[in-house]
Amino acid sequence: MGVFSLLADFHSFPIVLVLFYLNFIDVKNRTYLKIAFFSIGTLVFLILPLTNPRFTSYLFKQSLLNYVLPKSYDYLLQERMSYGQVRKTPLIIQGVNFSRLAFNKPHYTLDNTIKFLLTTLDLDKLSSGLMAQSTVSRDNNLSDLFPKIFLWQYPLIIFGLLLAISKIKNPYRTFFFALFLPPLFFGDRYLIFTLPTIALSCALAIYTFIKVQNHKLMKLTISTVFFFLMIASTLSSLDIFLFHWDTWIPEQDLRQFQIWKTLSDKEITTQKITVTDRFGEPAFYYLYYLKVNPSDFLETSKDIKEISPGVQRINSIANLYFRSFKYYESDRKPDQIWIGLAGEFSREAGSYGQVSTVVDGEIYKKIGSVKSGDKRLGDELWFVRTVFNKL
Amino acid sequence: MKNNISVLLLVIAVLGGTALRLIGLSDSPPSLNWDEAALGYNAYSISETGRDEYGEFFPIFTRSFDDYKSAIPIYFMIPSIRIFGLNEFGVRFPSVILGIINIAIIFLLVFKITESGLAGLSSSFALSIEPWAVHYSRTFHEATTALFFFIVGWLMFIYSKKKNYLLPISMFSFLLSLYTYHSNKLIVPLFLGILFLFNRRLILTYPKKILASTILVLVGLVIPFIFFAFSGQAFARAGSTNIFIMWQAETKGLRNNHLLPPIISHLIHNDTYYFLQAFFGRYLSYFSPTNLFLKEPPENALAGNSLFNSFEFVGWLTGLLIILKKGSRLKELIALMLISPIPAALTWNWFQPTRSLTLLLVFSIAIGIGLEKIIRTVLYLCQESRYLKILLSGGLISLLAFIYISWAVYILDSTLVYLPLRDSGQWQPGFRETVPIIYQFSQKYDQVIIETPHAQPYIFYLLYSQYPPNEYLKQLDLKKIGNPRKHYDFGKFKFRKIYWPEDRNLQKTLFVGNDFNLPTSDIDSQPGAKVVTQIMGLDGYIAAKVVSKE
Repeated sequence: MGVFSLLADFHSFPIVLVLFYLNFIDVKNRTYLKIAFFSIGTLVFLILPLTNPRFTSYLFKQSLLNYVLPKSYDYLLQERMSYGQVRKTPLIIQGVNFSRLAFNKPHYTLDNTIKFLLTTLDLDKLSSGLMAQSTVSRDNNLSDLFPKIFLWQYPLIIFGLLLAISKIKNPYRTFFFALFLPPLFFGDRYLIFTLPTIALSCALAIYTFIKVQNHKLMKLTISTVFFFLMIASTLSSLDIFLFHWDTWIPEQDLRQFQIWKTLSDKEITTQKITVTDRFGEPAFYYLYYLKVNPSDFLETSKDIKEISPGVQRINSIANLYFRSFKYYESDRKPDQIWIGLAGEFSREAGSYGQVSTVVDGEIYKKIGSVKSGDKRLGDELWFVRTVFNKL
Repeated sequence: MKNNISVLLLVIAVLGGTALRLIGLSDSPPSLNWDEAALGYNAYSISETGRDEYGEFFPIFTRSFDDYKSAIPIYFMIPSIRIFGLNEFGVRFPSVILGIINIAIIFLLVFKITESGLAGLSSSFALSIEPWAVHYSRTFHEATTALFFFIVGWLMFIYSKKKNYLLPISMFSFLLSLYTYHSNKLIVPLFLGILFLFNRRLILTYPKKILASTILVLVGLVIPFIFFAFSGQAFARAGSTNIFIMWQAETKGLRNNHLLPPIISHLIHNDTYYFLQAFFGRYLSYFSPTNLFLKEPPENALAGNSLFNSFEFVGWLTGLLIILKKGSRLKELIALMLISPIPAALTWNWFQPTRSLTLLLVFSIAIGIGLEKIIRTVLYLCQESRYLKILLSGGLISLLAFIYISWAVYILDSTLVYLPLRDSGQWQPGFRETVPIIYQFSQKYDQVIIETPHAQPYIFYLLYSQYPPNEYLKQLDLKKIGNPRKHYDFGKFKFRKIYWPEDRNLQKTLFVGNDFNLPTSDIDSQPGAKVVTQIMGLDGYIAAKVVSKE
């Protein structure tokens, strides 16, 4: 199963290593052949993928190592050192820079290691953007707003984990906690591996709460409270999932959905359309939403460039162009469609809401409350059709 | 650990903490904030006239920005202002002193709670370099004073178990804390209830005289507080910050736009469920390790630091596990940890550490307890071999010394270099530089019009010009200023928007604004108008442009 796990997602390898270790302990009284089989099997599956330099580089970038090696913080260290040169500081005395005591590799390595491990424990991010807010408004880590863990589960999870230390016996206990290793090594994106641990901790806590009660009435009351919490939370989440997806869907997915559902088939096939690439890569959304025949795509997409090794970018497909633009400086022709943020059309920063026309064009649709991440570009997505006054 | 070594280490922790709190106090944070300025000027006014800026004679709560601040911190500030003057140093010095004393007190407190000198020392060392503690010591805030009274109250309560006569002093200190800061108005009664509940049998054995004097202190201070509560002063701030504005904030939107019948919609998106969720979300955010050890808190207060240093996480986690394990012995600490975030969670802000300083103190204690366990475990592991013990304990001491020095220097650099460069904009820059110059120029003019991009800049003009309180109180017209306050003008100083096309016709007037509302080209073309001076801010931009119109 470990092998299948590795094949499915290599980030599971810390768990597989633990599994291997547990197996090794288990089989140590058995034949050497079995030990050899397990050892070689696991090592092959661990080492083989690592022979691919692109894969190892990817894995490295994803892991804790990427954050704790000097190249990840060297620029920060130098930046902070340079501030001391700009501003008079008592830490530089007669040419001796005492700030070196803080701005050094051991400090930053220790600091970054702990901070990387801590990213996994962001309770705000783990719960939901609907339930929780970010500590500081400048944080942009709540883009995926759909609930992951309900707030009322937190105490249960913590209590359950504490119970698991004493209640669950080895080797299951080791495996139980080993599921935390992928997020610790590769960051909070791999918290999915901990799902069984979280669910079991929760269940263990609830079970213990009910079990320790002496009176049936108390048992019934606690069961009912948890039952209602579960039902209410599940139904509420389900409703948000089915009917309010615009509140939790990542911004760029939502905006691309709106763009490609607004444009008609006729417009797409007959008019030159320029779509801003400030919401991800529009080409892939176009291919998906318009269900483009792959052979047609291969024929019509000529403008594909490699922007970094192994990463390609589609700049245009047929009469569709994907790039950010300054409409007022662009070469405009009649009957074109331009889709972009307000700031890409107009220089009226701060009052885009009052703008209804642009040079040589009409705004035929505006979508508000867009999170552009840049105040100058405004918070509106505009659909503009070029119209030239006939002289 | 031997007593003299403990004392020596405590002195090192206190000296380290003192250096971090005192060096460059006048320059960082780069300017006084609104509250510091208000408390500072009121302290100055009371010290000169016995009255606050609204003419109240030795007040308990001062109206200030209609938030009715406690006047107790103001009385603390008076000696400092008399000695060092009405400036950044004079205003902040009392806070520094309290912050330094806290380092010593936490040692005694943890020592009494855990009966371990090493845990006490670990807490003291941790507190001396914790960013939150350094920041709240370098700025004057009621919360710091309230925290000090709270710790003293708790320590006295613990000591009163052997020296009973300390009980009334403990209650007095707790109640001063209650008077001093908004959050403590909830935490103190709850904690006093808990202390009484856990120690009721012991307290009832105290001599009757002591119990009577304790009750006298309680009644004597609680009754006036109830009076202030009913008059609206004691809970004025709660009115504008409470969480109840979150009621139906999410549910209304969610209930709209789908086809479910209203009754099911109300059941699924239940107001009470969502409101409780809002409360518990806030409550739990104060326990989130990322909020404590990773992210910078709101308002850019700590310039590149989180509330606690990242390395403390290990001690924090270990400490919490030990505290929970020793539940019955440390039940007061656990109770305080659980009640401390409640006042903060009852406000609409998601995470506002200023409102939960008591919790941060509990965490500092937990870190101390955790670090002690780690140190003892390492020493225990190597007790069999003498050489290993020397090697490991030497390594451990070197590591701890490196961590302490390295993080202390990091915080010092953040405070003295990074904060003024990156976040000076958060600290109302420019007033310190501009006001004395403007005040000097103002003597030649009939009126000074000050552009007001922010509310209440009048307090900076009062403070930095050291405007005579007697003079200010003579001009004070409570009816004119209104309630809530709308009018801030005093003497020649008028606070409003400048509109140059109209204002250029005024005579013998000094304008204080910026490039946008006092454009140089317009001023040059206006007879009798000239740019008197431009005052540069710390960030290199023009902090104020002063224009005269003869």
